[in-house]
Amino acid sequence: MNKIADLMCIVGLVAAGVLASLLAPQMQAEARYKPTEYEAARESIAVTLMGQLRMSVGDMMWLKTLEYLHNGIIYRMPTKREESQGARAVEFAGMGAGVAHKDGPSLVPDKDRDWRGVLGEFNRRVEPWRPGHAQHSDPQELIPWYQLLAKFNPNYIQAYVNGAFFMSDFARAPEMARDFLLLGAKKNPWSFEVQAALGRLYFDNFKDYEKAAQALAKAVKLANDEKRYLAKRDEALDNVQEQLRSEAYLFLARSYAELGRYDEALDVCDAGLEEAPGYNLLRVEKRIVKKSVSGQARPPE
Amino acid sequence: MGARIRKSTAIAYVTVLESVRRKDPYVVLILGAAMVIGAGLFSRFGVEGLEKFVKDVGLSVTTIFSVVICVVAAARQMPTEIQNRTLYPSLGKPISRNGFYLGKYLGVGLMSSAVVLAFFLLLQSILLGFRIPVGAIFYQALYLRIVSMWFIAAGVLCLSLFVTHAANVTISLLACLGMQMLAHSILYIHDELTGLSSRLAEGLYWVAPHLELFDLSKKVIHGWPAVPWWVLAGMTVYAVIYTGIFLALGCLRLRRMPL
Repeated sequence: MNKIADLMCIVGLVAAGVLASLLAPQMQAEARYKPTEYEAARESIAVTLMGQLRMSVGDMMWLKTLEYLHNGIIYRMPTKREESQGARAVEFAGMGAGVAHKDGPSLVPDKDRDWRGVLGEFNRRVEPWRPGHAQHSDPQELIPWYQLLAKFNPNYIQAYVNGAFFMSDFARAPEMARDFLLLGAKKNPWSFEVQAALGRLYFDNFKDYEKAAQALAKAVKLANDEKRYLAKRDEALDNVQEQLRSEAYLFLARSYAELGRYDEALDVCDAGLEEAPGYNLLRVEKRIVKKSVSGQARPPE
Repeated sequence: MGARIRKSTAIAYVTVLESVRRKDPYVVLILGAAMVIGAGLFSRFGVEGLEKFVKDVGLSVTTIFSVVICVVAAARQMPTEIQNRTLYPSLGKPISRNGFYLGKYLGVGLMSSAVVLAFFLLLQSILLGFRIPVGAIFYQALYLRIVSMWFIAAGVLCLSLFVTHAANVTISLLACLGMQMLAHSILYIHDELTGLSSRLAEGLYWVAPHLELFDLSKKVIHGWPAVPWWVLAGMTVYAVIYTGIFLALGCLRLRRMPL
């Protein structure tokens, strides 16, 4: 089935390249469609199926990135029986929040808990497997999959955020990361995650605090809009999104401070602390900005 | 004995020739183009050190299409011969039904192996073009893929005498490409099963032909070292046992089949 998924990825990529140029401008030109036409599209079984297919293949590509991260080894969550025997999944957050995940035991069992005898022995030799906890590969290897994923499903936000992070921090290609995020922002103008990542990139890699402030201000606004929208539906941002929103406040304040716009920086700190009272880095930033206002030098990072 | 082998070999030769006339091997060229496109995409990403992606695309294409070619070729042999009534002059040569069947198997196996070999040669040249080294594991993957072709050919040829052509192709493709999923599912749920259901899952695992054990692609992609040679020998024995069972079943069925 994995092979079918791989084939679908390849075929989908070629098809996406052709279709993207035809479909994207029409998708963006919302004014050309009447509400009734949108409703018809929403009711269309064909459109629904294609959308579902796009999401499913996108998820398969996402799993592919995890496979690459684990050097081809497949890990699973512990079963209830294993948990009752003390087995626990290990949290991994060593490469940024975007790829944070839990690693349980490998799907191919160790020899001492394998019931398959000689077939198990062959399986452990043929399929990637190693005893002990998961080890992680160079995340640069994940980049093409994020690129494919974004091509196949341009609304897969996490692909842009993670891909750009690995491009800038591991592949040392910040220009490539910027272009990737700008593409993501164009395809997803409502996404605060992409704007937040773009702001961080301008801040960390380009030292372009003006552009960073613009992107982060947009990120903060979009994040708050989304939070309000979700609250109306009794939903909330997830942990990663909350983290990104808090960081957007922090780096917006830092960008203003770098530009010498201390009042705005303090306002952002206050607004951020109101939204995320537990985010102590904003308190620290507020103290630093206050010291800068009172003429003291900003301590080195 | 020698005469029988010569007759079966002649049938095998005709089978390969027919595949060439049907332009099956030209699929190799189309797939080669697909692989080049995949590799070309790799260069567009512009990030160094992404060998895994190229190998992944190349090996996925190789695996999928070699299995498809093998299944399609094997599935059509016997039904076509029976439907077109070309089986009768062949049996009148004279050649036994067993000899005819084994000749067909030999032809499909040879053709599929040649296709796999062509794929790997093409893939190797592309990898070398990108200066991506291939270790011993690459050649081990080639060997196991070829062995799996003979295994698949035997199974599909046997099934073609029991079910319709369309059903055979569908079942065989699902079995070949989805066997890993079945094996992983059993592994995943086994720990939660107890009593009879656990025994049933184990029985199913033991009976199912494990084609996924012939796939070293992941190890090649992720740069794992070569597997011990006894594993290759073991997998060859495994394939020979299943192939023998499928061939015996096929011969038995053909012998009893009213023509």
